[in-house]
Amino acid sequence: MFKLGALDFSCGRSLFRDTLKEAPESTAKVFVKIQLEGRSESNIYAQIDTGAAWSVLDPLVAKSLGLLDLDGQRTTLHTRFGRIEGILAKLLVTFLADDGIALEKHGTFFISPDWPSGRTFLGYSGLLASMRFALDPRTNHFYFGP
Amino acid sequence: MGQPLRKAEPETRSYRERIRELVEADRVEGARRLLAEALERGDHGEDLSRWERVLAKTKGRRNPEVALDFDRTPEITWIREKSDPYKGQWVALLGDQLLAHSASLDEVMAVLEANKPPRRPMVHYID
Repeated sequence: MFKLGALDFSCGRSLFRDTLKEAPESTAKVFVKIQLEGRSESNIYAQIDTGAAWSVLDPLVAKSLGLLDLDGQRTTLHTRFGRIEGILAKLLVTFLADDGIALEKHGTFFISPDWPSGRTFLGYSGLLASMRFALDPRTNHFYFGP
Repeated sequence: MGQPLRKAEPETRSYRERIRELVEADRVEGARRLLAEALERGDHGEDLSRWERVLAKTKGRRNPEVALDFDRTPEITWIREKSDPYKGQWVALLGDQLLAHSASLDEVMAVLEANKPPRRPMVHYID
């Protein structure tokens, strides 16, 4: 694993993707493997977005997991698609490991049926700000730890 | 002569409203501070439990019981190199092994149900 001096920096690592066929982009992004709410049928690639406060869940994934009607905190977010109403809710995210040990964290997700489907984002304030992570772009390894 | 200093207006909006405004402006740390102030005061008569939940920072936990994920490169390679004869069909792959194929997804799933593979196979439609 990735070490910080003598200490473990990470507990696991996985391969990340630069692109997703279902979400074409003009430049490379970082898509990492996660599982939601401890349900293996929910394994998806989610885009790391350190510029966003909140994580956003693809409404199709939310619907398939029965999370569209969660009793969360209603709010409106200003997004690149305009003002969108939805809820903020805490979900269990598991960062899946190819090597080492998976990491579970609760993260705050914005869920709205009005969000364009096809992509899930992992935002900074509600999730990534309280965990360790690092990227090795030469090998496409995503390192993560508590 | 200088302008007289304006007296600060007393805050009349609820904590809920102010927290929501900060959240909607992506000022998450400000929202957390205001929530902490509200919880410390404790005499505002508002239910802030939902905001407490969504604004809370949580610690991560290692979970060695979650199975390791695995590289799907062999499945992708199989699809790229060997899928032509299966056009218009669903295929179930584990590594470079073809576990089942059919035009009917239900039939493929039935084969997988009857012969459970050791790991989650990739199920893919060849178009």
